Amino acid sequence: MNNQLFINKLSDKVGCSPQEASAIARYIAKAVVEEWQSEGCLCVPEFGNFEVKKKMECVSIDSETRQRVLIPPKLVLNFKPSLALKARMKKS
Amino acid sequence: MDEKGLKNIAHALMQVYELKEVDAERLVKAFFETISEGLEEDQYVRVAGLGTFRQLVADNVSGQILFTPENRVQELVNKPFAHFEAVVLNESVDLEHLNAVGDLLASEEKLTEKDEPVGEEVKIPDHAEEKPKKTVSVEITEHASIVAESQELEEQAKTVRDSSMRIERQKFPLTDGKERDGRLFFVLIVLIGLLAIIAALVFLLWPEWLEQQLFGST
Repeated sequence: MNNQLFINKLSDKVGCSPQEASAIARYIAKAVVEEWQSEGCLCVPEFGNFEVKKKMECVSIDSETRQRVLIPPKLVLNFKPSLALKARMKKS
Repeated sequence: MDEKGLKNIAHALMQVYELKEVDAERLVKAFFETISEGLEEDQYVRVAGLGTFRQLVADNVSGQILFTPENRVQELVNKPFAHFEAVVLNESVDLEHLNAVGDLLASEEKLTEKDEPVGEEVKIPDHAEEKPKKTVSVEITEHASIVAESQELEEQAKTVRDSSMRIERQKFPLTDGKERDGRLFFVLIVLIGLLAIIAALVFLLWPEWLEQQLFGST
């Protein structure tokens, strides 16, 4: 399902025009990202948990040249689906 | 489950679109509900400004969902570490001792983690979960070295403190009153002895001068 289909589905569900649904979806997405940035996690009941995790620095070695490169630490986003969502996916 | 984050989002939505709190919360729930339904129908959902949710369909990972954030979103999340860059290490850089300390700390962490309660959620066996175990963190190592250094400094300070105490004790021995009086008595005896010797010498060498001094010239 691409973004357009998602917007159409959301507009049907909420009962507004696709333009409005698009603006709302964009705003919610922006707020979600801000929440990840400020809190580092977001729990959505019956959907799952988003968590920002720190990926530690590591030394990567080039197998051909044997050159070692220190890869810096990184903050990555993890998503863990809830058990309810997993059960729904298994059913479908 | 903690809904604080969702309430924050609903609150922001409420202010922008001048909605009631109930309606804003309904919109946020509908947003995630639509993603769930999309996953059921199409196995993947792309949401602009967020990323792509993909349902894994292999038998062993059935029901698991992979979320790939958009590049811009990933950059925003990684903003605090954005200034770091990969560095090519020289051959002279030795990381073995760092790894050794890191391993020690990792084992200690494992021991402490055992006490923590296990959550309800089942972990996805993706690569992101495995990497932290594999790569020993230099940061942890740095922390360990700092701790070790501080302990060492503390020990040094302790030894210096002890030795200074010892020196102080030598300078000003904490003796009782009797011993101190004995020493004073000894010093007095020596002084009196010296005076007696001087008097005897004067009496023997210059008896006339002594007589003159004592009885005056007649």
